[in-house]
Amino acid sequence: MSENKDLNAPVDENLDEAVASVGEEVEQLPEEAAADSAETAESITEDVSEDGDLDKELEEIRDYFQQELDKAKAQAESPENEAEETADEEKKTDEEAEEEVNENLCLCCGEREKMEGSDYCEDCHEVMRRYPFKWVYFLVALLAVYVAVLAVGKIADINAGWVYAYEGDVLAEAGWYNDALDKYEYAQNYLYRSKVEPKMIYLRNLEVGYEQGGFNVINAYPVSVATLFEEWELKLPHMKRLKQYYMTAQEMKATIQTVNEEIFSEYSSTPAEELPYDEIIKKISSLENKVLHIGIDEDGNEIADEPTTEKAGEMSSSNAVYFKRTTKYNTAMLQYFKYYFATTCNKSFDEKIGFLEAVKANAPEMIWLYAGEMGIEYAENGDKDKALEYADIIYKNSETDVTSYYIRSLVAKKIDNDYDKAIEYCEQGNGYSVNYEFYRQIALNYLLKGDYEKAQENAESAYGENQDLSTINALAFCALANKDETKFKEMEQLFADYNAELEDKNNALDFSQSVLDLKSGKKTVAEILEQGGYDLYD
Amino acid sequence: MICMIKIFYLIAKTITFPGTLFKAFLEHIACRLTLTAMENDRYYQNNEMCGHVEHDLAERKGQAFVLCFFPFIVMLIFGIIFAWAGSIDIIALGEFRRTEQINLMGFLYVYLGLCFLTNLFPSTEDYLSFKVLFYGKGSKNIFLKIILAPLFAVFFIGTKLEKCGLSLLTSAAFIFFMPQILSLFVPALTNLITDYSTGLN
Repeated sequence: MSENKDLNAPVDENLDEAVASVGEEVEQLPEEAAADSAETAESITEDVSEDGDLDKELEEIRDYFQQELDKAKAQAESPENEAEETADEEKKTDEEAEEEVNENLCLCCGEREKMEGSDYCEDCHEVMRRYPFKWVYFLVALLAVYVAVLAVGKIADINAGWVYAYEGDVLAEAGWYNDALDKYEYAQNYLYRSKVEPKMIYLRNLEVGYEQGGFNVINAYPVSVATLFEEWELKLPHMKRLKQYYMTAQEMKATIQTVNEEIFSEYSSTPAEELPYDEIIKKISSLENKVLHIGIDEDGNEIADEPTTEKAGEMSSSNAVYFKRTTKYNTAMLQYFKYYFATTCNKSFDEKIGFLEAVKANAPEMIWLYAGEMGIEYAENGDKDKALEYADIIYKNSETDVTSYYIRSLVAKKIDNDYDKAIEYCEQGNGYSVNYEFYRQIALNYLLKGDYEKAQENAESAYGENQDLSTINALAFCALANKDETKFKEMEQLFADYNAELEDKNNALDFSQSVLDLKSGKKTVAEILEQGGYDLYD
Repeated sequence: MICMIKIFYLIAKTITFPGTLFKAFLEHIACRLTLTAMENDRYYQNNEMCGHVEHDLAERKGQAFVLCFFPFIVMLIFGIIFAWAGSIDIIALGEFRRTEQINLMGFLYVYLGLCFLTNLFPSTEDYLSFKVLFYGKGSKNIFLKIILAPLFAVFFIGTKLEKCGLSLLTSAAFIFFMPQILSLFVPALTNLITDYSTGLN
């Protein structure tokens, strides 16, 4: 039994405690008994050895245990414990009463009574309704307002630029590449004024520019990319497409440079009919599969070198610093050059179309490089279905690519002899992008229709857009057909003035044979156009 | 599971601490406006009331509306302003650098947008008070119920999302796609304003 018993504890608790302590003592009994048993056992052993009466001694041990257990139980049920339990019960009742009083007091002040349905008194609750602010949060709020005002300023600053870029995206999505590029240009210029460097617009501009294509684009592409983006930026996931475009453009540009500098330059002053066609084709073919080192030097110039060592990845022979890599000449571009030479040397349709098919096989995505030429070749050769097939391909790729209208006008003129339809296509093409060739074609169609006055009007428009031999001859021809001698003399004077300034009279210019034939009266307008394949011949 | 949700909630609240503190401050203002008794002003605490203030439950409809709507609309306005500036600048235009240095302000706008939009929604207690007072058995005003239905739906979804810390992810997604969302009306609006101002000139 515990000696430090709390008399104020509740009766039940005391009772439990007493029972527990009895249990403990009962548990302890075997230990004490064990000690006693050891002594007893020794005496028993001695007794056994002396008397040999073991049963009697065991009975004594059992009695001893029973006595100890009875003693412990008697202590637990003694009147002293009952008194302690009563005292505990009284104490508990007092505490409960005190607790009840505390529960009715406000949790905040602990003095006044709580309001009904609340943990707080009326006074404290009133204070809590106007819980004071920490002044620091007003400063934070002011700061937030200030940053928000700056953000509104930023929105006002860049919104128009972003709207231009968005409109560019919509136009590019619809295949209106020229208009999309114009919008991107507006956006860049607008944002440039706000000192914004819009990398995403650069990216979209370059992507759309590549998809639209063109030799000018390819020429400027590698340096544009290298100027606008760091080398590491091209490794980012959203730059994957641009990186691919950049690498192809780099190869194409290197191919154009090499073919121009190493092959074309050699024959720049050779007349077309004297060009060694087979030799040139062989030279171009030799570039296929040749290793090429390309990159950008510190001044931002594109460098393309053939290697001095064959070890891939080394820029052994150039000063290239950025974007350097080892690759090969672009096969599609090499095939295109073969087509170009075949056209210059007036080779057969089959030979020319073979090269164009090779371009298509090597770079099917470069519609700008082969589709227009193929459509025109098929139209010239009288294959209406094939010509229109390529016109459709071009139109689907870019609605504003006027080549599709040009092919359709050729088909209408040469195959269907529907000159009104041909004029309509040319006018549609001019609606997207004014081009002297469309005016010249309209003039030819009016000549074929016999309306020489309208023909001259359009020939003048063509000449107004571009003064070259084709437009001068067309205007002179139409003026002769329309019997407008003043205009014809004006054109004659043009040649006279040009030739007068020439030192080498062998390079003197004159009208094409078709104009001369009409002027001399050797052939009629219809005969000339028929002989020229519905066009003027040289 | 509940423990994990609480951890996500606290992580989201901690990452977006400017919005967390500002939201609690706005709730404090709302309590003052509606004379709602507040128990303490611990804005950041390690429990489900993080970013909210402990206050008495709303007893009147107006009180419930202000407690839920006032912090929500202020946070929404701030959040959209920041997210607009940041998402157009960084995501749509890609102005990662400005005059050869990192475009800190642009990234700050994105971050603040994320912070404010993550902490838009009322606490569960406030949402439940709103629900009981406007949509409970005692409420018979059908007109109010219809008018407030979209707001109630936003609070319902938002409170659930915020409770799991998912509002951080939804806000991030919202900011990422914000240029596309803005493109639905901003270009047309800009052109309209430009045309109008050109007409005036």
